[in-house]
Amino acid sequence: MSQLVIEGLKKRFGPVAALDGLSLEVKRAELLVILGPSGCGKTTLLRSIAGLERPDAGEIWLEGELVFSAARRIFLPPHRRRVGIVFQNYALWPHLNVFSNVAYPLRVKRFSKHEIRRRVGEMLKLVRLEGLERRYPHELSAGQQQRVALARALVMEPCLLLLDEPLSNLDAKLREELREELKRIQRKTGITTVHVTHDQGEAMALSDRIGVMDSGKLIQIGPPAEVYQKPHNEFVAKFVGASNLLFGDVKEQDGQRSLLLQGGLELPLSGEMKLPPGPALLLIRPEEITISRNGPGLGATVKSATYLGNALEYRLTIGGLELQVRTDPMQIFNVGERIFLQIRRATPIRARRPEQG
Amino acid sequence: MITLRQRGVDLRAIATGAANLSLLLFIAYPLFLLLLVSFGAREGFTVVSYLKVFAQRQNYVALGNSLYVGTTTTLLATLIGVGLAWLIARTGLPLKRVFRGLIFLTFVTPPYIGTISWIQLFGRAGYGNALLTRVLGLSIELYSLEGIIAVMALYLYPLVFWATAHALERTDPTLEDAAASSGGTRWRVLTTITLPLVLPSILSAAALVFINTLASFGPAAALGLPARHYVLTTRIYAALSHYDVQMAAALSVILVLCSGGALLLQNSLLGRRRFITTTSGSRKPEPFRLGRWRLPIAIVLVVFFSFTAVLPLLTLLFTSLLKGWGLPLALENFTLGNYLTIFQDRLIGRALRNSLIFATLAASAATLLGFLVAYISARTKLRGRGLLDLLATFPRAIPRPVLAMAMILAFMNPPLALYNTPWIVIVAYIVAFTPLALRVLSGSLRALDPVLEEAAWASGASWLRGLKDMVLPLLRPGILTSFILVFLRGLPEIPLSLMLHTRGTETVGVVLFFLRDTVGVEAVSALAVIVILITLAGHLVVGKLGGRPEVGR
Repeated sequence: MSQLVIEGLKKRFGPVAALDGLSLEVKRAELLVILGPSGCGKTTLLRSIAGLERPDAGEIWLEGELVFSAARRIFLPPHRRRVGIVFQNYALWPHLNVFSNVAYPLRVKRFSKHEIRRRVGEMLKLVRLEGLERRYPHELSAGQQQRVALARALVMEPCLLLLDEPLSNLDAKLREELREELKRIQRKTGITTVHVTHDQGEAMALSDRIGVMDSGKLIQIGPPAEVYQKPHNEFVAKFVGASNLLFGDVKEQDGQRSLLLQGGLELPLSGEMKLPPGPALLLIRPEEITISRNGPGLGATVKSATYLGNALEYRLTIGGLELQVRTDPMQIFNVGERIFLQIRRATPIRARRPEQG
Repeated sequence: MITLRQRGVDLRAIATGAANLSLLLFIAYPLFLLLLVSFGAREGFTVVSYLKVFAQRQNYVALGNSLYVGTTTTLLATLIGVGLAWLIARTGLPLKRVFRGLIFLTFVTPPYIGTISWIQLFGRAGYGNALLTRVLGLSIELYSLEGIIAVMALYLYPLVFWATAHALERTDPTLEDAAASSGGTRWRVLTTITLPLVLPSILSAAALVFINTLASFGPAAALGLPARHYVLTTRIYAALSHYDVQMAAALSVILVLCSGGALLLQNSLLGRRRFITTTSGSRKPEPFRLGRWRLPIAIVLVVFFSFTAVLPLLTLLFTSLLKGWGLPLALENFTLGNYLTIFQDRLIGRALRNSLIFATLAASAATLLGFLVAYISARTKLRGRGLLDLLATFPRAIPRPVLAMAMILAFMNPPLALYNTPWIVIVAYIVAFTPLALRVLSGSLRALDPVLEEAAWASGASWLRGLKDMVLPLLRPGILTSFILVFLRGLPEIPLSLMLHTRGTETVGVVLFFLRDTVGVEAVSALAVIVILITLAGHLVVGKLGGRPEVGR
């Protein structure tokens, strides 16, 4: 059974459509990451699910219960939705200590003192914050604050956990650490989770499925590998992972396929790719291009090189075209050097005329 | 089909409706009535009363006087305020903390009480004038328009001082550095970069001084009436004393037009203040070196503050401790009897008790109303919230003598015959000071992240529960500040009390206004000293809570 079902959700803020007919289903215990640039409506989606925003149209079902329906004028207020939420800035109450912050949802529900102590203790253990009960939020590090917020969201055993860019306020090292922590806690509790972020690395690492959002619409939803390898359109291809996008005509000659680009440049494509001839937009990931000093392949010039530690990233020029290539860090070429490239794989994206210019 | 409605939404809508209704009844209705009466409501529409207003020479003289006093006071206060602000915020002047403290002391003195002390110094028989006559053979005529101007400027310049000092301290010093490194001299940088940056703050404070001067009653009455120098507020009071209601109403409308215009100007200037670039607080600007002028300027300021801040308060204190005004300051002439009088005299005791009760009630109600309006207009999308905000802010444009007029017109007769009861004074205080409470509370509410309240809802708390557990505790400094400031304005309030009180509902303001002559200046001074001490204590608490001093106006 689906834990969360969203049908045709719409929400406008003045002239801006934050949600534009968005539909979505999340299965029990699934971790869905909604990925999109800032301003794409992902936070509005989260707030609508929590009941903090009232959409203009559509329906939201939580655990089979209709909690919002514009047509039927149903709006279950946030405090009756049993949805836990971790806000981007954590929203810890500054006048309450860690224990009281986490205990608050239970106090509102009038749990016994004993039960509150037991459950809060359990939660703090889960997020590894035992011993900090008496601290106040301003006495905690950002990472600790985030854990308190998570504990507070989970303590009432919600039917759904919402995470609004919970890692964006942390530095890179801590972010990675807490990402793993989030995943562990999600797996351990089995809580259905919707996590929104603009960080594609975070999305890839965490999610069971990724939903890519743009201008209030869900453009593609699927397992991370599928979204990465078979993006539905240009936007997804560009937003998820680095990419080379080339528009041209696929031609077949003597069983050898190639892509004829504007300006007459012809890129040979390797034989396994079954591309129908005709105009196509091709996505070529930087790691899907091999380069060598002596060929075979198409001649190109190294324009720049960036050392990333675990990889080397080159920008190559062929004619007027610029390509991004990623190689293992041992493969060192000099800037200005003449090299040869081969395209191992290209994925066709729904063909669309490139915009002028 | 089930229709689930959020109970909280209904509560919020009910609160909005109730607040709107009460504001309509107690603010909009009286003022509308005032407008009607000024156009001769009982005899059908007529401009007769306005013609009558200008047929009497006294009236346009009063209008002219108001504008003269208003503009001159504003100029003087702005000059003093800006000069002091620059010296204290930007230069290497010594004793800066002391000077700031003395400005604060001047500001927390209620202007009318300040006026009393100035009368004791430079009134006809004042110590200061006696000394001047003996030494220089001349004397100061305090009972004049210029006397009003001097006293008003003295008690209002702190508004300009704080606005300017604050702006100067928040201006990004790198902007000035950039100008200086492009080859500008210090004087050029000051006039072409610094001044334009803080100008909107200065102008908006100046407009505020103008509004306050136009609306002021106590000093204008105390210094103007003895020599029959009228300004608009005192003319309204006089017309009302002669039961010329229509004339008083017409004069009120004219006064509201003047101060409303200035208020609109101030609001648009405040809007422009957003252009000020502010520092991240990392670096303070390099203080301007005064060089050889440092000491002379400091001495001038010490003299200035001795005369304007210390001397008047000392005068009051000594008078309050003397057996009789005018006696030499010798030990055998000192007594605490004047303070005992306050508690023994039936009238003064009653007035003090009344003022404490009225100010407490008004502070509670205005704070509650201010909170409701601030919350509803900032945190909800309910219909009617715009009207609510407008109604609650509107009394800011209404000088209190005018408000008193409107209250009389609205609540003289049934169905709501509040006149001749304490309630009309209390309601008038609430109306007059709700804008202040609203300003304080919307400021603190703006600083409170809405997400803290949403987190409570998401944790299962209803709207009321979230309000009680999160918003109110986190807003406590703002709520306390609002309460204290309204209380402090209500305690020595004069024009509303004066025009609305009746036998048994006299207040401190009424006693201060009338009883100089009957109870004696010594007891009045003792009462004034008590009021000053309470005011000072309250403002110190507000400062501790993080409120800036000028928020009280």
